[in-house]
Amino acid sequence: MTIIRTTDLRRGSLITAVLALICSAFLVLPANADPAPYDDCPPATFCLYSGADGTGARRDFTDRQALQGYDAAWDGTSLSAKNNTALWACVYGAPGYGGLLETVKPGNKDAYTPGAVRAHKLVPTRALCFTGYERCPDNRVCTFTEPNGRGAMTVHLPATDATTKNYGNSYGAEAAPRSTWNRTKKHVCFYPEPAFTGSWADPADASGRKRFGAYVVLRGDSTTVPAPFAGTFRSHELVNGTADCQ
Amino acid sequence: MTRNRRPWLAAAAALGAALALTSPASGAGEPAPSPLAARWTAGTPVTVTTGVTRTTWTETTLDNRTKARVLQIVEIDPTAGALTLESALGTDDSTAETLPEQLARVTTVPTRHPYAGVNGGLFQREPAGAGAEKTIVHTGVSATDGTLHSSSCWSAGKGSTGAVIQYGIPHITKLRTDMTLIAPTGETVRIDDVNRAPGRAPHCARDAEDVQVSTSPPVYTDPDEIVVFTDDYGAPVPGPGTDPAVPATADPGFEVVVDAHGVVTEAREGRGGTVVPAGGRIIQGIGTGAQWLRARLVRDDTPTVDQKLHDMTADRDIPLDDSVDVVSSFHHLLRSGDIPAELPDSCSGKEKGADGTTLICTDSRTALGTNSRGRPVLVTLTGQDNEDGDYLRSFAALLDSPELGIIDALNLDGGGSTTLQTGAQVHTPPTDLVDGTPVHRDVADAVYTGVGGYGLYVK
Repeated sequence: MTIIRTTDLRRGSLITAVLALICSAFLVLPANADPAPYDDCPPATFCLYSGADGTGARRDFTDRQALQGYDAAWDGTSLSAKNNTALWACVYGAPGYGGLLETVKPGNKDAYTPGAVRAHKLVPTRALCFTGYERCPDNRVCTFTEPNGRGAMTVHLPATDATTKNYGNSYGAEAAPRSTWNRTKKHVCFYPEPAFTGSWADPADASGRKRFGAYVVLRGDSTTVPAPFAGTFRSHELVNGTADCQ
Repeated sequence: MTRNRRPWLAAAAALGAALALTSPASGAGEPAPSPLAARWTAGTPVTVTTGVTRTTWTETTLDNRTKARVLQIVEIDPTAGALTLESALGTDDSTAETLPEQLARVTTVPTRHPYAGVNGGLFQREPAGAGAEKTIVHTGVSATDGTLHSSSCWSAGKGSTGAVIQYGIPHITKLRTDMTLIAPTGETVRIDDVNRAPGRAPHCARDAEDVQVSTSPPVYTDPDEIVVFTDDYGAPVPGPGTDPAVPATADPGFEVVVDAHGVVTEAREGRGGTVVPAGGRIIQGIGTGAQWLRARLVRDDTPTVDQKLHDMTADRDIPLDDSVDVVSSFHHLLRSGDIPAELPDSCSGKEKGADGTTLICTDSRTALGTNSRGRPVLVTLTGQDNEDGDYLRSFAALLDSPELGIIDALNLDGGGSTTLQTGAQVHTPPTDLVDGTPVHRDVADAVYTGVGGYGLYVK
């Protein structure tokens, strides 16, 4: 489950103002004083620190550098950050823009518990932190392990199945998707079995006789997959019309 | 790098912060309640479908009014269900239609009808005549599925405000379009606009050459233009004389018809009266624009139209693929949780309030935004059965109320255009009269949340 920390921006502003006032008092320190916390973060840079309050080792990222995961030395080890870019920083608790999400307003800093920082990206609008669909390349079907295009992404390169001749993909053992972007010119039919077959019971049908044979995502659409389909897809095919779904 | 901080500095800062945050209010009273908390009350949220709710706030302390206003918020949670956020043009790009008509055109399948929608961007009608029967022209950038239907406003090269709707999220920013026509020889020329009569730019200048000729309605002119028409324009392309008050529109011009394969099928003197072929384009020129087309394009040529959409705030191009929709207006109401300093306190419809003296603003308002949960919101402010609203900055202040949690918001077309619909029900009052009957106004485009995916029963 994704947990989202929603900060009260107004209270945050008040705290920022108070801290700014306090910091301004220290600006009258002698010239040879050490720099204030986070002051070493360069302009137009998002800085991660291994220590609390802008201490320890620092790693810099430009506003064009997003990382879906870090090397072992930095994976989950950051305890604070400063966002000196003009963009919002989105900080994720799991690789692939998954898990707990925290956001850092341009110019602000933030503190983290160990393990909370495992990926990040920088976006012009805060709401774009809440999706990861933008990773999907053109002319591909992409599936994601979390709702709204977040979590690990699988990019499917369409192929013709040797046995069934279906044009699409039969999945391996990876986690079944919870969201998808059909970024192709064809419609996609998803199935619960690897061989483009299977069905789902319609939860709205008390008799239990009505069953869904495919879940359709029309060309160009990105969407979270709802129950009873979420987390069940094992194959998909691309079709020109939904009448071609099995 | 590794750096040690002076421990005493950290301790002093922490102590100072703690004192500042825990000290009793020394003369500073409780913060004033938000405009919403002070004068409005929320109804019970109504679930439209899984992930889509509509909440109605009703004014309880009237602001020099005789009737309460209503603020309606549709919140869309893209993690809760199979939901999209898109814009729509209705029947075609040249025709204005009511919001219900626009949403009805999204699909012919009743079970996939949009769940909720509002009217979209600003527009202006072109004068009737010369093949253009009161066709509409968008103000600022308009696009559906990556196809541009209007250029940005020029604004000294800074572009105009719009919402790029992609991945189910509206990104509000300054946008500038740059369109170029490339001849087979490799020579290039600027394309002035899309889907409007050349020589007559409504509402705003499209480039530095445009000169204002009218203030009400605002109209600009340029006697040397090239305009491209897309195949969803829907009406015969305009001929000379669209607007007798704008002499440049009388230019007979030159016209090039391009088929779906990008091949010129006709290059001819004069212009107008032809419908754009499916998948193709018609390119019209007047003045030096006509000369450029006449000298460089003949039948069987394959000119290229290069279209760029640039995010001026983030300084990067937005690729115009099928996932991109754009709606536009002039004003950013909330930017990262703040009311922009440059937002004017404008109002076009003022009347005397309940006291019979003080003027109140009765402009209904529509907005598209996102909230602190990252969810898109569709917003309207109207009277209950009458046109009513507020000044622009007052509307922004209302949206800035912490109870709503809205972070970013774009002002869309308002006044009589303001319309909100969920399912088949319209929740905003009709404001126009046709033969004495109140009707909802025809609008240029719409923003809606619809069906992202669906189960197909076993055959």
